[in-house]
Amino acid sequence: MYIHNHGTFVGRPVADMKYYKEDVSRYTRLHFRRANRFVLLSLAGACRCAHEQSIKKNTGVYLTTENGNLGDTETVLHQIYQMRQFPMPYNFINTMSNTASFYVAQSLELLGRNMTFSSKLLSFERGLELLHCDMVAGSVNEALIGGVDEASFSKTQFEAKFDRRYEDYNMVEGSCWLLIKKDAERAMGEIGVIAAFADLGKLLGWIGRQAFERPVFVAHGILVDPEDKKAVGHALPDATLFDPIGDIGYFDSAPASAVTHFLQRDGGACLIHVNKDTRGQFMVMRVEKY
Amino acid sequence: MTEKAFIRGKAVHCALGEEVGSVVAAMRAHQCQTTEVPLSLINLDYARPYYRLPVKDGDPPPNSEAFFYTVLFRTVEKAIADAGLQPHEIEEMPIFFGSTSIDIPLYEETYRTASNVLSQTSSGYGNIANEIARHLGVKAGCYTFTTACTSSANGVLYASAMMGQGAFDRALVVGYDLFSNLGFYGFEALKLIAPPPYRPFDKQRMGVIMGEGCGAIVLDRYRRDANDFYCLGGANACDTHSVTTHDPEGHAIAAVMREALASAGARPEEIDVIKAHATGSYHNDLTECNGLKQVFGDHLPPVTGLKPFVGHTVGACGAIELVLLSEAAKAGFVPATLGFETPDEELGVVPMTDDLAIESGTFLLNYFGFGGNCVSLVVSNRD
Repeated sequence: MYIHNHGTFVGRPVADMKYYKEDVSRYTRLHFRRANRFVLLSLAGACRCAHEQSIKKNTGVYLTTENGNLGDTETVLHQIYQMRQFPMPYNFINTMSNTASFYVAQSLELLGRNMTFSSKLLSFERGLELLHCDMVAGSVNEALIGGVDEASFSKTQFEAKFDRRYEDYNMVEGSCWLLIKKDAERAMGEIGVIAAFADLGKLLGWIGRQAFERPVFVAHGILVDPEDKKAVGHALPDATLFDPIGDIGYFDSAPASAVTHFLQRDGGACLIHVNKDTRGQFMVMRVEKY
Repeated sequence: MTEKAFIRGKAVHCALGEEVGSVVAAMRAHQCQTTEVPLSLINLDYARPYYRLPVKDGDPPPNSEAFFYTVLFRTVEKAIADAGLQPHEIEEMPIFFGSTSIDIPLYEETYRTASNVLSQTSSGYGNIANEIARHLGVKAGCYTFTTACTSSANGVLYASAMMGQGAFDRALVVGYDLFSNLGFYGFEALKLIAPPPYRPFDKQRMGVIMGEGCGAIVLDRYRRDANDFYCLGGANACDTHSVTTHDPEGHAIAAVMREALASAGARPEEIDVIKAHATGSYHNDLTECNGLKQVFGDHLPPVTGLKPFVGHTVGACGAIELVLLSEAAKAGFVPATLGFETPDEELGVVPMTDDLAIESGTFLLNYFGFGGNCVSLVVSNRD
């Protein structure tokens, strides 16, 4: 799976939705009067990724997310339970997070696969697996795949979910996308490996069998423990630590952010991104930048 | 697909019951049961129909967290027992979960006295599949699809495609949507809910009647019984016409059916029965019929819709309707479209009005949803 472009929209949340609408209007002529934060975030990253690219109509859209459209879901529940009225139709429709992947497809006129997908803390990696399956089957030759999430403002939720101190992280939100093609011609890089491991030992065994032609960078997901990082560091002694969560901030689609920020670096390199879920399963992405 | 994905185990919990045999018997007897749900939360003095789950003595109260997990875990356990899986087979089996409401029913009761509960406490879309994995001791991956009414159909599509490529030997696909006020009031706000009887494709059709339910399917690379169905192929595509309705000409829907047939290596004339999405809304039925006529022309196979039996179970309908159709066929019939009486000349499609006697065949199943999501699956139990 060859990477032909990337697009990133990451930052501290801005309350005024006009900010997002103005940003998106730079890339698409469609008007999204009823679009909400999640939809606009999705468009901001995807449209950057597709900008000035030659994209075929049957290009697939794979939107991966941990939480989807939280804002409108809260709005609708508030309308029903507190205001005791019918939900506004477009608030209700936007509770379905695949409205975001729909608007990405509509704005770019893409009629291919359209997927909104999640896999607790491994959404982007598992989404790449789905895309790989479609490419092997020949049902997709080109795709936009992104990770999109709103910022977490709940200290309680964050700390319960990750057993990490909320104050240690700069909370951002974002939308990070790759344009992936089966065709290698004029590619800027590739997704080399997406692999799952039941435990750290199996992951380290895999690392030990890897050969690298380019300088190696290693990045970690939020649940990778210090001991895990140390073991990975020993297995990759020449690797440079790459810390997009520390440098840019945290949101639940951080693995996608790690990949697109890695691709923004100068020069050829290889990224080993190690992620871990709440069941102790590891997933690795090996990304080559030419 | 290079390898087939056979339906080795299945279970369903729907308005007709929670034992596959009795559900199929109820379909053969053309039974259905809706409940009138009042819109009292917003102080309205009328009610709307809904296909609610029957509650057994000793079950936790509906709308509780305990009920949510009781229905879910009981259904997946039945599917696994039906498949006769060994513990090591369960451990290695990935889970493909599809739902529209995901975990919203778990939190709704709390909204009676609190706000922002979901954003303060939800662990994300992937959490329910993870809970199934924890409950069963599954160590393989969890995949959650949230593409509105096509959610669990997409789960079937990817589980069978990945199995076909040799990624694993078996998979559990779950479609699950319980009653939520968000969905119920949302559909009523869109003026989509019809009075009973539910009558898709009928000239007098007036919309959707929602249902709740859970369907679980164990797919396996190896066939256990000669008449087990397997997934031959399928496709997903996006109709960018509108976020709520599909292109009325049906071009996108026709394209996804053609792609599904091509992936299955099947010609239109090889399809014995079509399970239409058949929601009963004016636009959806018109669009689907226009798409069907483009693909099948004057040689349209028998068409049926299953929603009048169990309601529109939204994201769960992919798994539930696949179980209902394949198990009915294994019992020797495909049910007629319950509630249908008057043909609509504008549609130009008349669904089955009598049960069709059939034991084996190749079936096309359609699923369409909000967000332009279109899925068609092709299943067969022919060699």
